[in-house]
Amino acid sequence: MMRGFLRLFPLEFKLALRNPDLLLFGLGFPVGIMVLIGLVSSPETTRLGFGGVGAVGIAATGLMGLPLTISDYRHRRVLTRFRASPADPAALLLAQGLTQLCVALISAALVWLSAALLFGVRVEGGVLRYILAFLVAAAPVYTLGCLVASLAPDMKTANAAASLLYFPMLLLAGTTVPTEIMPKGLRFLAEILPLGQGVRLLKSAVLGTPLVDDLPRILALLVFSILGYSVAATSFRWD
Amino acid sequence: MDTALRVRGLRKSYGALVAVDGVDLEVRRGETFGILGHNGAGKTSLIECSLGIRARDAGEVEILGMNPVTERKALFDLVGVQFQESGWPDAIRVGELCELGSALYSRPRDWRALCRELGLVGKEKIKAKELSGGEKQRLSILLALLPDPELLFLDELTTGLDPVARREVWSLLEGLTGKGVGIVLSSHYMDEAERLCDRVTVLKAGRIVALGSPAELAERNGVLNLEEAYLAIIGAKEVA
Repeated sequence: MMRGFLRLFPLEFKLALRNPDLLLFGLGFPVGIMVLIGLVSSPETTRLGFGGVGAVGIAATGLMGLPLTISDYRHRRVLTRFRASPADPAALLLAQGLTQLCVALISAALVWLSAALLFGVRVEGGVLRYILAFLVAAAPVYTLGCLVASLAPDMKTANAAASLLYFPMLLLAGTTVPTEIMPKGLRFLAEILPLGQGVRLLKSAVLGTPLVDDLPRILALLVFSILGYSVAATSFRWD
Repeated sequence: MDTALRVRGLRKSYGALVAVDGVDLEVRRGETFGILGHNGAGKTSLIECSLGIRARDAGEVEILGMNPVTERKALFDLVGVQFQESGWPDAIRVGELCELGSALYSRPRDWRALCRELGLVGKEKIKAKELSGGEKQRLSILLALLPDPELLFLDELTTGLDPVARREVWSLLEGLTGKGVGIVLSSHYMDEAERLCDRVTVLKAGRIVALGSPAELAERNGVLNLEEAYLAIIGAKEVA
């Protein structure tokens, strides 16, 4: 399986970079939002905003890029071709997941670069803390993406499910609109969305609050991810 | 063990539509075997259910002595499959598709050498979907040949090709059978089946209605060629 994965990954990555939607929503959109927030907000809001915008790439790749690519492969019967070969579907999912994660990391790096260079935002918790928070925040989102990828019987269902997950998380999880300015009811919604918890992790990395305070959150997100991945892996449909 | 494919009591229906209705079939190693029938006669369902890439309702299948579902990984290192629909990621280039195909097998053949054999040199950078019909079919044969198969499944390989391209594909396949590769193909062209196949079966509404060599079927029906035999077998009315 590893050999197949190692040969698939560079190809999947090359194909992903050819996908204009992914480049626009995964890379261009988050950087644009960051610049916009920086231009219209106070330095403090910009700093908090940066914590959230880093997660826009996670949502775009995990909830759109990942499930829609796999569903497209199912629709085009690329998966059927895989089935009539010795290949392991896990190798494909892994190669596609890592591809999307690379795009999300590039997106976060660009957002960081623009926030730092244009608005002087600093990550108080340090680079490693930010990357850790980023990966833990990505895990449950990618889990949801994998569930859609594994279960959606056709493109229409995949599109609907991806949109139902993507837009609430984009608007309500604190990625674009800061939860700090939301009314109580909406803030509760942000709390229960997996990405809402991820955004909290990113923000505490930016602010440099003690890591210990985040441990329950990290644990909950990882447990959710492991359970979700097991369901996605065992219920994977080829056609 | 000289059976390439053994099918027993295969059944498949889609709702009320019965696509394959209790098919028994045996294909010998090294022979070229044709599955003939109208569109909708159940050819594709028979092939796909046999390969295990479509769930079957009942029946047993053995390919090269293996169960295609439980022994999938070992089997498909020895069996090449060409699909009626292309099954390619969008915007992929020919060379990339060959690399993608190679990544699926444990000991793939050198795809560049296959490109030379199949006349696809110089097409590596072109998008697969922009190839001509004949080139696309040669590419799908290339992909099916990557595992260096003992047995090849071809589903309506020449449908939609012009006469020249069809004959190119035929000589290609004859070259393969010369090397001992067994072929199971579906077709609705009788001239093709007559030229390529050692034996054929005719499917009608998911059932086998005839089985034998093209010459045997012609003789049995008192006609000169497979096309006339086929028309007699499926009971088509003579068009004046």
